[in-house]
Amino acid sequence: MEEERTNLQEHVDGAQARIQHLLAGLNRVLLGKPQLTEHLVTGILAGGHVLLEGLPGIGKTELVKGLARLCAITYRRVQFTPDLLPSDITGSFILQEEAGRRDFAFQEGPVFTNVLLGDEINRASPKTQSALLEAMAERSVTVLGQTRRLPDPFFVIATQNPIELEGTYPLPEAQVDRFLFKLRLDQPGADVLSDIVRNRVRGLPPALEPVLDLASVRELIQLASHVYISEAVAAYIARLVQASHPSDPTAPPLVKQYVRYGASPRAAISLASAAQAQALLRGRVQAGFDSVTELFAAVMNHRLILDYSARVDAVTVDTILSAILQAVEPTAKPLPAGVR
Amino acid sequence: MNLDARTSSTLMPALRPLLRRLNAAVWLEHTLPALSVLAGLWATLMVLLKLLAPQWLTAGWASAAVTLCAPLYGYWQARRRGLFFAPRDGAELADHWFRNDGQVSAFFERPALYPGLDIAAFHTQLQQALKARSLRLRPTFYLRRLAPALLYVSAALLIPPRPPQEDPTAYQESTRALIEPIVQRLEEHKDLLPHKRLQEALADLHQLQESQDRLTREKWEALEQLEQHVQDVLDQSRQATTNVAEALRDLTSGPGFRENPLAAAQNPQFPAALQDLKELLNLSSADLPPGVREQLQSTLQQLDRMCQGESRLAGADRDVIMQQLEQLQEQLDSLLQNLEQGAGALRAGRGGRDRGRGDAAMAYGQPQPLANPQFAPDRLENRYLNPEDLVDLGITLLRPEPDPDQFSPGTLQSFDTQRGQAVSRTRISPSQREVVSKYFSERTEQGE
Repeated sequence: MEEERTNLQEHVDGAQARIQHLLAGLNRVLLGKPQLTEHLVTGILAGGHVLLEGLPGIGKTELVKGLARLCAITYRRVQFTPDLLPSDITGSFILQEEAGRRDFAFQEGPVFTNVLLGDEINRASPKTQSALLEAMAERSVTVLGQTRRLPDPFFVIATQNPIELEGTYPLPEAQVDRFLFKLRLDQPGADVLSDIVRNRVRGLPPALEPVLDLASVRELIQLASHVYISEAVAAYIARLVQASHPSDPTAPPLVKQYVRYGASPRAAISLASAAQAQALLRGRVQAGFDSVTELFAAVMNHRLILDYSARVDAVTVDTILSAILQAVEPTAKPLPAGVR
Repeated sequence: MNLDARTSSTLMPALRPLLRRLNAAVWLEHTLPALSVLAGLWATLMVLLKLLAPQWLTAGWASAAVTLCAPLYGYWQARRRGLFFAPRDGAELADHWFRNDGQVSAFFERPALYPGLDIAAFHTQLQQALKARSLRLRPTFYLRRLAPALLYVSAALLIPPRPPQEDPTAYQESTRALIEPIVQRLEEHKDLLPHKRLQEALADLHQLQESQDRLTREKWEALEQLEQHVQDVLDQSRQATTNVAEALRDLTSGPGFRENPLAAAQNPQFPAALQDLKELLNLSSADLPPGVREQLQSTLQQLDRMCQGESRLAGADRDVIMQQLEQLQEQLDSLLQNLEQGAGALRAGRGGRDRGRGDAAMAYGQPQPLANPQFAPDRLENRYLNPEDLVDLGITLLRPEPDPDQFSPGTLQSFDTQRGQAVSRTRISPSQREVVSKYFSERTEQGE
């Protein structure tokens, strides 16, 4: 272990080069969104699931496909519809006849993959949505009492459409909490759109060559977990999460007024993991305060449950998260007032 | 988890100045409120002592030492609440000011993570970053927080202490010292003074005596006025008695009056003289002593009857009249003598309003024989000039240097050569003058 630490900086340096290749490829797939691709890769390195929210045609599916292609990992896509059944995702036992003997054999569903793209996940019924709970949290599925491990790594990258909410089922909080990030894909600007029009042939994705393989991805995820989180950074994360609870004395007034439930401890773990992954992405052996601040909104924006008054007063989650960031001192002890 | 065990000491030289300032600021932040409160309480105590018990002011000043507890309290409070910046907190703060990427904190906690790090360069960069954000204590900030307490303490110290409460009996004593001679004088001459005026004067003196106020200027002047009034009454009484006595003497010293008063009464001038005496009696009846007035009226009635030649006056009656006249004359003479003594009762330094007090010119009254017991020689040890203590200074053009042991502190030396000769004068206090005056008058009487 000591040797591993000694060589951690070298490993990180090597990993950063490969990650930069991955990012470069993703930026070719999704033009003009370098921060989003960085967050997506950060989520993958943190071993978390990502919820993409954006209008149709923004490039969500292409982004996930490109990620799978660049990482050379298995990829499956499920279009969530109201009549989709849980077994359609997890798989089911089917009757098979082999050598004259009939037997039930388990037919794996699309969840048995490295990257599962759940397209328009909010269109499936809650029953089907909940079929993903165990897979996302424990990376296993249980069918008829038999638990099966999912491939390692396993990511769920789900998309949901913020419009056409009729006939949709909002994701249960338990499931939303299992997503590491909720990333919003905004409409690209005119210059980016111009690049897309000029460089993208309709129906054909950009030609991508894998820059990683399955082992590399596993190694990177493993390496990200070894990135050091100092006690100061951990304490900062804890203070931020704690301040999201309206009952906490350090919570800013906006939280006390508009937030009904704050973030869970899982949110703190997710934020720490994301900070570690971003440190790896930036070639550091330690997670930094800057990463925590930068990723705070992406990690927390789907975990706060707001009061109805927030909607009435048009207060968004982003406003509240900004207020939390401003209210929480980055240091454990505030500076004395008498110094400058 | 023992933080110290895995604390990196390599960062301490860079962190130490930062920690020193931060902890000083924390300590000040907790000391100043306590200092303000203690200083305020002490100032309040001083105000109360000044107003209620000035004699305890020394102890009040000593109690200012309590404010020294404020620094200890501030340190204890900050330590109890864990507000002092530990090296780890300093590393965290430096991390934010350096690159905000967690490197300083991580290096502080686990230096082994950075085996290839150039420590010297890292220190240099860190020190530059800290220098750019170097903390400075703001004196104005602390002064502003301390200002209310300072103002309050200053105001409290400026309040003058209440003068010590004077003993009302002391006022009464001093008043009594002034009143007693007047009362004594009234008692001496109570037979000479009209009863009503005597009672009024005694009532006024009693009122002044009972008053617990200090000896004010008004009271002093009232006493002097009263004394002057007594003197005026005595003077009037003396004048009236003198007039009556002279008129009576003129009446009875006529030719043949002693041998045959009845025949003398038939003298045509006698009724006119008697009438003058009556009118004089009427005019000055208020000023005459009470007993004399009645007796004089009775005698005048008999003289009047004698003047009218009433045959009822037998020889025995004439003897009685003559005896009464002689008694009356003696009484008037005695009365006059007493009044003359009263007129000379003014004392040195008590010259009344017109002549001022203290070192005013002395009035010795009428010359008195040395046999008067009032003037009995009295040797005053070590206070006043004695013949054997006198030193002949001689005549000199130089200012004589008085021997401080030979002069009492109350003397005042003066020396001038304006008139062509050196004159050395020694002025002495009024209380000594009487003694000196008595001494020299005694020597004069003895022809020395």
